[in-house]
Amino acid sequence: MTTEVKSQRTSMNMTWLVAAVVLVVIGAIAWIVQLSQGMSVLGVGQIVVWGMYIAAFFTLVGLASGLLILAVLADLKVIPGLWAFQRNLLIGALASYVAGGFMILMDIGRPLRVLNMLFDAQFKSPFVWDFFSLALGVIVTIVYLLVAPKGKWLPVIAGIVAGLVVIFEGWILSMSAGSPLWSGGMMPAIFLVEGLLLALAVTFIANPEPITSDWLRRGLLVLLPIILLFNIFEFAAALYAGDVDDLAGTNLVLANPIFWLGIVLGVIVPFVLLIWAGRNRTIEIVAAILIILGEFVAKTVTLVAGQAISFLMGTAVYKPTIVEFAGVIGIVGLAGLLFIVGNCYLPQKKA
Amino acid sequence: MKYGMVIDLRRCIGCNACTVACKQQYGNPPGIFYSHVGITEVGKYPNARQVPLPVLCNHCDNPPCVDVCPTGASQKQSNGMVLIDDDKCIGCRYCMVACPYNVRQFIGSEPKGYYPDKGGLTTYETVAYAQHQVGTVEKCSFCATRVAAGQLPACVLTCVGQARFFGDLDDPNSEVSQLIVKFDAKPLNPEAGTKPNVFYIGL
Repeated sequence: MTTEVKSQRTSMNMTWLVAAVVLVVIGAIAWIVQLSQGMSVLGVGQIVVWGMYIAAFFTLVGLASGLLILAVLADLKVIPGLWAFQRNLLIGALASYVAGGFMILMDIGRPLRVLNMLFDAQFKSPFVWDFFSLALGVIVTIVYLLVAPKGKWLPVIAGIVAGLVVIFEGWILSMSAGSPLWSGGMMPAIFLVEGLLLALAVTFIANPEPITSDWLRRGLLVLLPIILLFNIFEFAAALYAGDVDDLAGTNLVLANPIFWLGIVLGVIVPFVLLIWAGRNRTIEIVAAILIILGEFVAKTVTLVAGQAISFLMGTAVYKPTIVEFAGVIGIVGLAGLLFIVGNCYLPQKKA
Repeated sequence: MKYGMVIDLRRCIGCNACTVACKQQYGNPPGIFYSHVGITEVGKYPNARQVPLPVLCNHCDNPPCVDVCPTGASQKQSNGMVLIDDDKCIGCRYCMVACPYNVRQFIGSEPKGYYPDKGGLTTYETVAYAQHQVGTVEKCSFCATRVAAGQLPACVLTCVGQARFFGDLDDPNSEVSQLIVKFDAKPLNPEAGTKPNVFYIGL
């Protein structure tokens, strides 16, 4: 590598590092405001109690698990050329898991009591399953980063753990008696596909190697219609069955223009762009960014709609506040910062 | 022993005295209601009318809030009451999401009081709000401490129409058990599968 190329890379890394630190500072200020003034500075209330923070948590952890699964596929040589990128996938997974954990910490009313999850854990709660599977995901990713697996046992375990984390997150919603909209078996499947979709989109942006990006593009083109179909299955069943509560939630989603904006800009437009863009890198990146934003929007809308129909108290409205936007931006910055730092300082694998 | 409540909707006039008595009993801040009176509409114009429907924690036999609580802060007691241990609650609000009746309340911030323009909290508010832990979830306890002292829950005692009845559902001779049988009292939203212990006459 020439000195000039090295210098360019260092300068590029520094730019990303500064950008990430700025975002983290924005998020830290938001959290300080929230801690000092209470959670009334957020848009959540007594009916819609989970908002953008939880949607961001689901998105980040879905992304992390998707990246871990891609790292496993790279290890098993399923995706050509991705092996060279595997370390980045694992660091990305680790950064996203940790940032997702911080997102939850920002969302709970008593952050210091998170240790109660360790000492008083109630194992019948899907939240506890998610907590421990997330911790396991972090541990497995670290081991996977540092140890070169002999045989396939580590990749297989990593793949199973990654899958379990997102499935448990889907269960957090689908096992809730309070929201007919989320109930049913589709939610874990939707979370799993969304996680893979996010991971493919992020990797697609970061990895310009033609042989790999061709495979990633094909992956996106397969998963985009699948996620659309899953949503159609879910909503069509509710509309056809006509259960009053389920129907109310479904109508709330379908009547929300932001949901349709998410479907059009996050699924249909990227699909068309990926088919017709040829090898235009700019359009490819635009398509991938739209997918990421679309998934986040879809998750937020579904999450809110599942809570908004209240029992005898009408339909609640959720409007995220500037503090919430800043908090989410800060956590995205934290994921970026952890990735950059991890990339610089984590040791290479030892056989 | 399993405590439960019967609410006779034929006697309820929707005055919200129960709502106020509950707020007074617990010194609940603005926006926090353990018990409230919802309004439902029955019939179609020109024969439509509004029907008041008091709602509180149903202290379910199969409480989803207890199942999902990650730390065991929400617990079903042997006397049927579902109570929250404030010191264990981490404020994740999963119980609020899981409750099909939307009766749990989150104390998000330090209460501002009802008269913020008049020099902050009143003496009553200062004392009452000190009992609430910011960042935790609260709800109706069936007035557990009053009941333990041999008193009726505040909402039952105050009900001007004497529409509320409280007692032991396990005792077939108790007033509540007799009322349930006599008037075919029904719980709210039984399809949620939570087996509520608040029953309504005239639902």
